[in-house]
Amino acid sequence: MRELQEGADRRLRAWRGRAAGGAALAAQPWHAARERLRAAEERTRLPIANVLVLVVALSLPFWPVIDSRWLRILVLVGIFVVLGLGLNIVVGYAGLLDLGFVAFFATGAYTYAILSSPASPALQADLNWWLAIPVVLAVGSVVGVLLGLPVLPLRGDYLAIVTLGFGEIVRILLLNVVGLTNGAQGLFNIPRPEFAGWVLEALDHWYWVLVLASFILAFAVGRMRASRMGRAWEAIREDEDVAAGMGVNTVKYKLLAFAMGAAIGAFGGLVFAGFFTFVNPSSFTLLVSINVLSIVVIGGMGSTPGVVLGALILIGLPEVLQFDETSRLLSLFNPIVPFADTSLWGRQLASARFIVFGLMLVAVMALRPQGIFAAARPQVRLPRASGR
Amino acid sequence: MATSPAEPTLRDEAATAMTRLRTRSLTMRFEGLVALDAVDLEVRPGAIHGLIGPNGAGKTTLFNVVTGYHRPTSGTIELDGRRIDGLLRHEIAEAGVSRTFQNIRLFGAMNVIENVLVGRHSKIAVAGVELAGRMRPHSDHRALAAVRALPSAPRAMLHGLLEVAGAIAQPPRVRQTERAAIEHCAELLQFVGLVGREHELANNLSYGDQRRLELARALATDPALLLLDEPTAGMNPAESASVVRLVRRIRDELGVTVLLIEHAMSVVMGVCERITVLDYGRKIAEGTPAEIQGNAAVIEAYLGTSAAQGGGRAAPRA
Repeated sequence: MRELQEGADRRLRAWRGRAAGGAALAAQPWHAARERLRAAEERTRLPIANVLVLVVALSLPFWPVIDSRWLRILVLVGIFVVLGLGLNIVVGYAGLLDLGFVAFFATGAYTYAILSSPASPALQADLNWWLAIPVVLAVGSVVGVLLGLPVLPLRGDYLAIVTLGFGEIVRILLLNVVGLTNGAQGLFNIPRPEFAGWVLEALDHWYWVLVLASFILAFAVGRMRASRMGRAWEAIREDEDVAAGMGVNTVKYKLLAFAMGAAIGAFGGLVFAGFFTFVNPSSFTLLVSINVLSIVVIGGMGSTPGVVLGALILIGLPEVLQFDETSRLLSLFNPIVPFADTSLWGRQLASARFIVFGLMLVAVMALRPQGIFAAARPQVRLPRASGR
Repeated sequence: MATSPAEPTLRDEAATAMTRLRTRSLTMRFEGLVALDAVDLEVRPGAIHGLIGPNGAGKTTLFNVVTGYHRPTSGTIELDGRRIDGLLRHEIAEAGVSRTFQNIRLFGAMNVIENVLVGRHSKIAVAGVELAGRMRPHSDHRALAAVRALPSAPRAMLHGLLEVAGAIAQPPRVRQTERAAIEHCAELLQFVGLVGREHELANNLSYGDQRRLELARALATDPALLLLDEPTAGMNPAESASVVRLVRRIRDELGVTVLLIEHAMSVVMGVCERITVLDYGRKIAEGTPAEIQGNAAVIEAYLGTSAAQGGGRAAPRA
């Protein structure tokens, strides 16, 4: 009797799955392709997609269309990819809404600037950029914990407000602790990364360093996510109280999320300082926090490819729209569009970028709340042998 | 409040061996409201113990206090003779108390096996540091957890660093314990009857399956004591009967002591060996189902004074 009932249940579920879930999945544009790719990767035990992306990304500077303007934009995009990977841990995995992420970006940039710039008023440490990496990661995570401690009991909007304030406090400190930061004038002549006589200066070299750094970070973040730490983060995001009841030290893992996000954000700052060789407080405004958060949200919270796509769209696209080629391309529409100079469209769109961002955010939230690249779930799968 | 940390267990070794959970004059006050009023509760090892009482009697509050969601205003809680009041929630979970919730609370956006894996959290190694079964000694700190963590800041940071390093490098020990945890979770899912649903999102399960998943997750922490808050709420008789069977198997096959809150009298009277009745935060009766059914105070609490006076001898309708 019971078996009969259960059998009927199972059939009904299977039918519902095909009718609802199946149709919805099939409607997803890349679902079939993604499934085939996953199967191939399981067969070959090789992350084919990642390798392809890495090869394409590394080869970009050799493409004929890619000139220095493109590379400059791509480096900028790369810095924001790093920042996005950091914030993704805090917001996407652990579900802690942080509106002050720029504070960690600034921490990293200024840590290196103070320790290396000849204009640094406090000390002349002359620290090498490569050696600064561990220093900046450590300082960043400590600052992350320092922000995390007072906000431990806060959730949701309260957390957002406090972190927002934190970002502003850091910027105002940078402006006013003149003896350390040189105030509004900022710190200049920051040395470029140098290793055994090789100075990291050429745009394509910077680009390659950033691609590799992003891949290493993405790998590390992916590993973290797939560990018990990542599950603890997600459990905290889903229901903090229950997570605690299941043996998760929520204090520890919330602080770890802040520390990891902050360390990666600080690394982004280190790259920023080394690339532009100049920092001042006006680079570290609330707008940076908002940009990074938009990247994470539009790309898809908790999704690494989403961060890359978000950075390309939000940081790269407005720049590309201002290219002369874009104008020339757009001018082709002139004959069919009356009463308008279509060649100006790109620049106009770029100067109205915040309106466009706003509309995009609204559109993504309304049409695809999980972001363009929804985080690839599920993570843990039973090994074949022990299944069924 | 609590007098001395980790009272010597020698004094009543014999008695503690008999008790899994013991609360002594446990009191919980919220502002003016006394939710628990000097409750003495004793749950024997291997028992299925029922906790009943009218709405607002303090049953769920008792669960919340035992599992560390509230700090008791006064009184003590012992698990197998060891004080657990004052411990943090995750420490209580590691000490061996697990629970389910009245309104099902799963990690909705995680899949079934991951939900259970979260319960297995403390059984997965951290970069060479064996954490399983380790516990900080009982301490009387009442300050915020963060403040409490401060004096041992370097240690905590080292621990955090090991956690991150272990996650990224995945040394063999971590991988091996993780694999063992996944296998254990698969077995638990088999135990509660969720085979074949491992990769579904928790949110997409049916109501009954969500209850089962919550049970599996609670069992994943290897509890000595399992607190079930209305495990059959909202179920039809057939579903409810299968949960009752499951509760029995949890005790019989896994040897887990069960303390359960339940409103359905048929369930309570059928599955529990002992029952404690709370009313307005006070314990008004304790005994076997038969004793409880004939208890005048219980009938009064459930049906009102006149019923108790008029038909005090009659068994209450369940």
